[in-house]
Amino acid sequence: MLKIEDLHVEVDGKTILKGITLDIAAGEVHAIMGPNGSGKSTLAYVLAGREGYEVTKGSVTYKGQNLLEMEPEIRAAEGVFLGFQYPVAIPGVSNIYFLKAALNAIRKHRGQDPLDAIDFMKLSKEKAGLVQLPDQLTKRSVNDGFSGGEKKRNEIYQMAMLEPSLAILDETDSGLDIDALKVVAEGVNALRGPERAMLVITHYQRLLDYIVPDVVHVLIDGRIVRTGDKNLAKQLERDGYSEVRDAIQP
Amino acid sequence: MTDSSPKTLIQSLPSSFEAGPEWLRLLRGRAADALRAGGLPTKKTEAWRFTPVRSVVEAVFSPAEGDALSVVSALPEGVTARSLREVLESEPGLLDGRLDFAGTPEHFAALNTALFTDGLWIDVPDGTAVDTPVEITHAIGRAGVSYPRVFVTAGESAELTLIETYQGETVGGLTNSVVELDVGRNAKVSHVRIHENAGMQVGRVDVRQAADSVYRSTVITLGGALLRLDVRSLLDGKGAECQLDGAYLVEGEDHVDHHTRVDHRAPHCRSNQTYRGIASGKGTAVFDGIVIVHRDAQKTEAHQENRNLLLSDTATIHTKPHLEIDADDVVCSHGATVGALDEDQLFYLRARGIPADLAHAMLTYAFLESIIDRVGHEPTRTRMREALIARIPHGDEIREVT
Amino acid sequence: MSSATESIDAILKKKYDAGFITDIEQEYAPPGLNEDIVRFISAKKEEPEWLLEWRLKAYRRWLEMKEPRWAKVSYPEIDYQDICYYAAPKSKDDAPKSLDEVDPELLATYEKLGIPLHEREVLAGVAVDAVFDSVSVTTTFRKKLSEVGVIFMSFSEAVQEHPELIRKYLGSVVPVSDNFFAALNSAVFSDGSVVYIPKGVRCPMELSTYFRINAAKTGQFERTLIVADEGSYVSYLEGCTAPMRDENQLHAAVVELVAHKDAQIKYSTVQNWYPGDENGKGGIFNFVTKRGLCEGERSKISWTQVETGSAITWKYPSCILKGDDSIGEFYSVALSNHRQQADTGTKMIHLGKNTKSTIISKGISAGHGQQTYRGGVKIMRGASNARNYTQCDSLLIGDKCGAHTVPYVDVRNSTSKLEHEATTSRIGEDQLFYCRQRGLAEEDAVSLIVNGFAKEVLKELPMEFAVEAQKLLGVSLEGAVG
Repeated sequence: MLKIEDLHVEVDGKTILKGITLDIAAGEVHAIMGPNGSGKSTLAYVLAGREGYEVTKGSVTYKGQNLLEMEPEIRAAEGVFLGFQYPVAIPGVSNIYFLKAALNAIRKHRGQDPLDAIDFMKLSKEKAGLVQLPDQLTKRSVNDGFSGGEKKRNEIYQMAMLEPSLAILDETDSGLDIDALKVVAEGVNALRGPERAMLVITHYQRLLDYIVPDVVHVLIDGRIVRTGDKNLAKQLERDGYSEVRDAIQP
Repeated sequence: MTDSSPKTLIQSLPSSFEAGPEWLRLLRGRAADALRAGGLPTKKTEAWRFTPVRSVVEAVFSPAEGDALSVVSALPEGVTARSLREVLESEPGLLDGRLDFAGTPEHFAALNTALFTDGLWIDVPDGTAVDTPVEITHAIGRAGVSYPRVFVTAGESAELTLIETYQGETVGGLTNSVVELDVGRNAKVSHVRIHENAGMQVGRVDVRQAADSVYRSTVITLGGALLRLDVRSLLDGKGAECQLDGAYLVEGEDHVDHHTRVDHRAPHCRSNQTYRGIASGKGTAVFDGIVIVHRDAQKTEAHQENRNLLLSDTATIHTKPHLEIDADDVVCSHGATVGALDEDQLFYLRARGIPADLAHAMLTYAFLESIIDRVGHEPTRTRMREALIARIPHGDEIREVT
Repeated sequence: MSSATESIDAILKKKYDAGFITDIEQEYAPPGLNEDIVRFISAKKEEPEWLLEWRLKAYRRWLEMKEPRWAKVSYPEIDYQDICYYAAPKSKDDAPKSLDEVDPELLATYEKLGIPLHEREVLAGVAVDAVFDSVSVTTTFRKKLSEVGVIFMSFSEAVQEHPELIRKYLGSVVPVSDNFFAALNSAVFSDGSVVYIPKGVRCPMELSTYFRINAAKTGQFERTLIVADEGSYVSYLEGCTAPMRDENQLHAAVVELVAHKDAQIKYSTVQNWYPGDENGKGGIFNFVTKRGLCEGERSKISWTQVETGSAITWKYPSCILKGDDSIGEFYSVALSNHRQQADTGTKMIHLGKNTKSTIISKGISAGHGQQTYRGGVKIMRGASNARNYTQCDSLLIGDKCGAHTVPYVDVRNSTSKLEHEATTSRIGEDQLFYCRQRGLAEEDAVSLIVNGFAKEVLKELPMEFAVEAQKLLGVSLEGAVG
C-alpha cells in the first residue's frame, strides 16, 4: 500500500531524514520507534504533506500513485490519515460540524453521496462510543479546551469516522495515563482490518503492548537502523536506544 | 537670559538662536518654528484631549531659579556623566545629529529642545556593564519653568541602571523634561523614574533600541498637580525587547496622565506594558497607550495591560489602550479594567480580623506594589516601596505585614 | 443543503451577486444640494410644514459643519453638489395601493435578491419593507401587524398617518446636529421604516427592511425609527445591497431606537453594499449614525451587525443606558477584503444605576483590507454598579492588511466595573494544515476557521439570517487566500 524508497527530507536546510525505505502492505501494522529528534514526526508530516518539509531525494508511492505530488486534502481524501501528536484547537468550529464537512468532502472525492444529518449522527454515536468520547465533546469546538487525553481520543474518533486506508499515528500515547492509553489502543485495534495499514510512531514500547505491531522499525538519526518483529520493541525497552546506537556504530 | 519677567511658554521663545554650535541652533530653530506654526496642544489635539493643558499653556512662568539636574550617586567605573553645556562648548560637533533622534519634536518636547540651557549626557561605552545604578535627581527651588534634558547612550552590550527622581514641594512651577536613550546592540538598560514633585510636570522619554537590546522602564508617580509623561520606545533592530511599567496614585485634585507608545519596526521584537493606577478624591488618572506594529515587523509579540482602581465617586479614570497592526504574523493583546477594590478580598481580610480601613489600605498598597516588584535593583525597589507607603494610610502597619 | 463543504464551495465561486442593475424608469431630483432640493424632497412627500422647517434647520446646521476625518479610513473628497438626493421609480400616477400595482420589474428585483414581496411567498414570519433608492416600494404584512397594534410602514406613510409619533420621536435620540452625516441625512432623508410596538405587545413576526440602491450617482439617505413602548418586544433586521458601479456612492442613514420601560429591541444588520472591485474601484461609502436610547427601567437594546460590504464603513451603533437596570449589547463581525476599509464599533453610555453593557467585536482583515474597532464606554457618576465587558478580537489573513483597536474608556463611578480585552492573531498554519489533513480544501478551511472566529456574534442573529451571514463571510473572503 505504501512504499517509501530512499527518502531524504530537509527542514530549514537541515537534513532530517537520510534515506528511509519502508514497505507497508494492506492489513499490516508497522511501528516506528526512535528517540527524540530522530525524525519520527518529520516522517509523519512528510507523508501527510505539510509545507516546509522538502524532499531532496527518494520517492513515496501510495496505492501505486506518487503521494508526494498530492495536496494534503487530496491525500486525506485518498485515505491517508494523520493522528497528530499535538492536535490543534480551532475555536468556534464545532467538532461535529468540522468532521461532517471533512467526511463529506472525502466522500465527494470518492464519488459517494454526502451523508445526511441522521445517518451522520448515527455513525458519529457509534464511533464516539469506540473511544468513549463523551457526547458533549463532539459538540464542543475542535480540541478547544480539551485535556491531553480528550484530544487523543478525539483523533481516534475522527479516524474511525473517516475510515482511512493508511493511518499514521504520531505519538498517540504521549501524555496519556494508562487507562486513557488502553481506551485509545482499543479504539485503534477495533479499526485494524485486512484493507487498512497502520504506521504507529512512538517513543516508548508501552503503547505496543496494546497495539501489537507486525513489524517494528527503529529510527535513529534519520535512518532506519533495525527492523524486526514485536520482540524488537521489548528489547529496546530493556536495553534503551543507546544500545542500538552503539551496536550500529562502525 | 537677560529678561526674566513672567511669560507664557510660547512668548518665551526667542526670535532667533545665537548661542551654541550651528547644528544646535538649527535644531532649536526648527523646533521653535514648529511651535510658532502649530502652537502648543489644546483639548482638541487627540493626544491631549484628557489633559487640562490650558492651565499650562495660558499660564505665565519665570525661569526657575535654583533648579538643578545632578548626579547624586557615585559614578560606576567606565560610565561618564557630563554637563551638556560643557560638552557643547568644548566639543561642539560631538553630539551633532544625535539629539532629537526621533525626529523634530512637537509641543512641549519642542519647547525643551528650543530652550534647554544645560543637561546631562550619560555614556556607557561598548561592553561596559555596571551593577550599581546611576542616580540623577532634579529639584526645583523657586517656582518657575525648567527644562531638564538628559541624553543617555549605551553602547553595544553595555548595561546600565538609571534612576531619575523629580522632587520638590513647590507648587506653581513647571518642569518640562526630555530624556533620550539610545540603546545599542545587545545593550540592557533599566530605567526607573520616580515623580514626587508637587508642581506641574510634562515629560518625554524617547528610546531607540538596536537589535537584541532590552529596555525596561518603571515609572512611579506619586503626586503632581498636573503630570503628563510620555514614554516612547522604537524597536528598531531585530530581537529587541522592551518592558514599560508604571504605577500611579492620584489624589486630591491632581491630574496624572501617562502615555506610552511602542513602535515595532523590526521583526522578532517583544514588548510588554503594565500600568496600574489608583484614583481617589477628585483626582483624574489617564492611561493612553499605543502599540504600532509596522508592515515588516513579523513575529512581533506585544502585550499591553492597564488596571485601575477607582476609589471615589468624584475621581475619574480614562483609559485608552490602543493597537495598530499592519503585519500579520503577530501575537498582540491588550486589556484594561476599571473597578473598585475586590469585595471578596476585603471580606477575607476582615474575616481574619483585620480592620476595614487597614484591609483597604493593604489591598491598595498591594495593587501598586506588584509594579514596583518588577524593578530588579533591590535598594531601588525598597525606596519605591517606602515612597508608596508614605502616601498610603496605615503605612507603618503595612510595612510590618509585608 | 446536504453538505456544508459543498455549500461553502459554491459560495467561494460566487462573486458579488447583488451587483445587477434594475432597468426601470426613474424620476430624479437634479444633482446638488440647496434649500430648494430640501423643499423639493419635502414637497414630493407632501410633508407638513413643521417637518420642512426641521429639514431646513438641519440643512443650515450642516452647512456650518465639517466632514469628520478622525476615522482611520481614507477616501477622496466627496463632492456633495455632484450627488443626486432623490431618485424614485416613476409610478403610474400615485403610490401603488397594493402589490398588484407595483412595477413588476421591481418585484423581480427583490425576487432576484431573495426577498420575495408577495406575502404568500414571503419568508415565514418575516414582514418586509422594501426601500428602493429614495422610496419605499411596499411593506408586507401590514394588515396582520396592525391587528395587534404594531405600526410598520414606510417613513413617508408614517408622516401622513402618524404625525404625532414622528413629531415626538424624530431627532430625539440623534439630534439634527449630532454629526455631519446625521445633519445631512436630517435635511434630505427620503424614506425608511417606522416601527411602533404598543405597550405589552410582543411583535408576532420579525420585521425587516431591505434597502436597495439602484440609481447611479445617487445617494441613499434613509431613516429608521423604532419605538418599543412599555413591556414590548421587537426583532428587526435590515439588509442592504447595491449594483456594481465604478464610481463611489454615498449612503448616510440615521437609525433611532427608543426602548421604554421593560421593552426590548433587537436590531440586526446584514450589510452587503457593493464593496468595490479588488482594486478598490467603486463601492459604497457607508456613513451611518445608529443610536438607541434605553429610556425606561429594565429596557434592553441589542445591536448585531455583520458588515461585509461597502468600500468605506463608518458606523458606531450605540446605546444610551438611561433607565436603571437597562442593558445595551453590541455584537459585530466586520470583514474587510481587497481595498475595503472599515472603522466601526460602538459607544455605551451608562447613566442609570445597575446598567450593563456587553461588546463583542470580531474584525477580519484580508487582502489590503483595513479594520478599525473604535469603541467608547462611559460610566457616568450616577451609574452605580454599572458593568461593562468588552472583547474585541482581530483576525488577519495575509500580510498586506491591517487591524487596529481603539477603545476609549471613561469611568467616573467607583462602584462600577469595566473589563476590556483585545487580541490580534492570524489564521495559524497549523490550523490550516490540520483541516486539510482531514480532507478540507484550503479555502474551505479558511472559511471554516473564519466562521468559527465569528460564531459568538453570528449566533445572535435570527436563524434565517445567520445562514445568509455565514455565506456572505465566505463570499467576501473570495481571493483572500493563495
